[in-house]
Amino acid sequence: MDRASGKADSTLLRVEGLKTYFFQRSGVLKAVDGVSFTVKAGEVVGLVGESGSGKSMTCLSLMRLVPRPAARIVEGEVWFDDRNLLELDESEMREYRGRRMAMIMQDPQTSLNPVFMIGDQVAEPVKLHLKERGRQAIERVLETLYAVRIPSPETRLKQYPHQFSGGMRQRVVAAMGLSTSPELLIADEPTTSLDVTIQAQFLSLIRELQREHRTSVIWVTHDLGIVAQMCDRVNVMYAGRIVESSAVRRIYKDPQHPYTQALLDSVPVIGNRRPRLYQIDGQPPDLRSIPSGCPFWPRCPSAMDICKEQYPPQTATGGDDFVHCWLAEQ
Amino acid sequence: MAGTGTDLSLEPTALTWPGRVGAALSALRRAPLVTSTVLAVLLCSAIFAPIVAPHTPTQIDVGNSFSPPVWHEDGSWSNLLGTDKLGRDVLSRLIYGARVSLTLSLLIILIGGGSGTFLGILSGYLGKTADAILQRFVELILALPTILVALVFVFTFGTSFTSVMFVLSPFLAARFIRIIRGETLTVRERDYVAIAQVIGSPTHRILWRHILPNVFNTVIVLATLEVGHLILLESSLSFLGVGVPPPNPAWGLMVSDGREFITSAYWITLFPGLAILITVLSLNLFGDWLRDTLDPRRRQL
Amino acid sequence: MAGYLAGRVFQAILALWFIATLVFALSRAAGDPAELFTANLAAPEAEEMMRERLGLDQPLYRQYVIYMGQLLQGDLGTSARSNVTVAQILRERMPATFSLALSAIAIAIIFSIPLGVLSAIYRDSPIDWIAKVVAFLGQSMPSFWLGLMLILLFAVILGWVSPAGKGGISSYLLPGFTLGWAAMAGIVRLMRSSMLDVLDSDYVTMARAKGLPEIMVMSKHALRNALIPVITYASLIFGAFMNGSVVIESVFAWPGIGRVALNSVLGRDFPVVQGVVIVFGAFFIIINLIVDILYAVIDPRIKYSR
Repeated sequence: MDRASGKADSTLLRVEGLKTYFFQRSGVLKAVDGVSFTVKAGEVVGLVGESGSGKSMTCLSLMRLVPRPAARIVEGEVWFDDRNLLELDESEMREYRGRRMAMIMQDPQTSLNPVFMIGDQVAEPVKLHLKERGRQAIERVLETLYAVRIPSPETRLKQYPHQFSGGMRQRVVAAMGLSTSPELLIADEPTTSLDVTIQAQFLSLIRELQREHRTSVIWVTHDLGIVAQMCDRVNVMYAGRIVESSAVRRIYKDPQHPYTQALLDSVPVIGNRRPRLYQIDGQPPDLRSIPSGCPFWPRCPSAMDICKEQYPPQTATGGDDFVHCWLAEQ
Repeated sequence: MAGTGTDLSLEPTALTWPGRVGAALSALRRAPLVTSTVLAVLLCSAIFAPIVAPHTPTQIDVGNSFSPPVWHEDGSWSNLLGTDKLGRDVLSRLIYGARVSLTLSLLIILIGGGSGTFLGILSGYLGKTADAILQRFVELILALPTILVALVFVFTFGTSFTSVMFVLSPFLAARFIRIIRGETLTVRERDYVAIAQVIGSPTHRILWRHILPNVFNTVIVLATLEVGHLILLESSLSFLGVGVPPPNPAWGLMVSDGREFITSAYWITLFPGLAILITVLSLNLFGDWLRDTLDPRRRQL
Repeated sequence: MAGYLAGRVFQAILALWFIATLVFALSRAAGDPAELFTANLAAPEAEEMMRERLGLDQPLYRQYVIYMGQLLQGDLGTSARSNVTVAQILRERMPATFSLALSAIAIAIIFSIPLGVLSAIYRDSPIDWIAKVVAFLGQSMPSFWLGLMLILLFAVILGWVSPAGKGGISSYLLPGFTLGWAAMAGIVRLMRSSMLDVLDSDYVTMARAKGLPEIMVMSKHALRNALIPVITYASLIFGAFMNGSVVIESVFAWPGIGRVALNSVLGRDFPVVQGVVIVFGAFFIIINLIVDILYAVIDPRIKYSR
């Protein structure tokens, strides 16, 4: 954390034109198709979109863990501090994984190895990266389990994943990531499979730990409610691209992209007596054959002729915010 | 959710008999060429053995014993693959052997597989005590070493076509029961079965109209894969002298006939073994293809 | 764990009892048991004595009780052909079968586990193709024929090893390979598919995300999970070996129990058949039991579920 706390507004991660494609017999699936965004030190950045919009694949690409040989990062740059991760060799990359950047995946049921005690699994990055052994490593593990509020960590240490509830498991996964005090935490919909109350507990826990250690976080979700609670900035993804990036304060008041607007309209708001929730018509596009122009136009209420022909360029909308939409261009 | 609760399109498709048969036929059109050709040739030679075979398989001609295959210097066109120690034509015996192996395996599939499917569906659908008892019994049978049991069986009842049939059928039935029962358990939970129950369809009708068509894919795949397995088992028994009795032209028996002469007359042993290998290999490849096409979920079958 | 174990042990005992009863039923179903027990060789007086010794003049349920009583005391009777007790025959022949089965499993594992693992890691590479060929041939090749062909090639044509019989280490190679061959196919297939499943799993991605080197990810996180179904399969392998040993020992003139089993059937020596079946069955069931226990040890979830 000490490294990150240097300058208040320094950029920790800068992604430029990232493209990750799946090469299938039926064609090329463009899961991530030119994604650019930045994450500042200590900032929580939300990545929002429907399922299949390329959020998870973006995360895996940052860690360089896309499923091989099916998928490949074909283009782009991922600057972490002062190095482009995509140019590192495999052993250099491993120095980043688990040490400087950690990941929490969606399903706590499957992200812990069922045959090892959780103490072992949390200790792995500690032993690997901090070179701590024996008592020292155990102390570190206990400390982390304590930090994620796992009751009686001493006994829990020697238990197997199936002896934990879903919420507790996700805390273990978080502990696994946080044990080495990484600068960046990538959380891929970590609360989707949790009950609502457990979800709230987990969110406030992570927010608290994040503030305390000034960890940067990329928080993937499809839930704009969570974004409001967790994030400083939000990037809206559609069909493998970021269509709008905005400070959280602003996006609820003044969404620029029709897709963002639609997402907001489909969130129920207490006290707001709209006759019915808004539904986005149609399906997200097949990523094997993305329509030309703006991929959202077939579902867009205000689509124009130009939308069908050309992808809209980036339009700055004040501060670091931007949007890709012909409406904003005019 | 905008849809209503009874949206069946979210469920795995409910299959009916015409749909079931149609799907199977259209799948056959895309069958792998080599294996289906081999199997077709086999089937034809088994059915038309008297027409195809150049000689009578049991015709002894001691004067012409150990005649080598045609590509040897002293081989003759009359006996393409040579003759055995009694001068019987190896090729003709192979062709009739296909008849023996296929008839036997198909009968066992019919008896064992049929009763196994029936019991599996009942056991899976009805559950409760009968199911529990049957499952213990299945585990028991699957825990017995087949060949050893066959040995005891043959010891008591003698070697014959029917002996082999009766001893192998229960083993096959047990395998069918286990898998079909599991399959039935999942089908039973689907909405279309629930609907049929709610509107008061009688049980036998539900089993016939809703359960059976939906486990039918698995039955077919399992049967195909098991034919190969049965041919191997049957030929092992025949090889040991406790299967199909001589002078029947069973492939396993032919391999056994040639083993004494393996140094001087390799062809007596080589060809029947190759016949088994090619047949079983084709059946396995075909079964695998069938499984991938009809029933991609059961990769472990 | 205790409940699970007790259940398995009970099942094993039940299976043993079933085998013993099956043998009894078959012996009484096959005409006059006295003939079976004297192999039809003895004079009528001897048959009469046998009838009395076996209690064949008693009602059937009494006979059954006597039979089970003798079994429980380890009394398997005496061969009808020679004066040797069945127990002694089994004791003499057991080591040969056992060592052959061990060499077969060793050969099978040495080849197939690495082959299965590598073919999953390097999908669609040449090694994957080799694995596929091994898997399909292993499943489809009759073992007795493979044995004969190996003898033809390595003993007759090349003259590297002796064609049959039990001797030094080299005499184990051909029968061991032949017996292990069919098992190999199964292990390769299962190892490959279970490894592929595991490689797809989140915990393997998580292990990589921790920065573990690939070799650690494979050997620690992936392999142990992928081995679980393979170990279950091991029980089936031993089953296959019981079956296989009858065939293989016949092909290679191997002096083990499988050969005793076959010869006693062909020679109509019922006491030996009965003894072999019961001991073989017991062996098989106990191995299944051990595999189940091993399974519970390697997979912690088993202890609590079921």
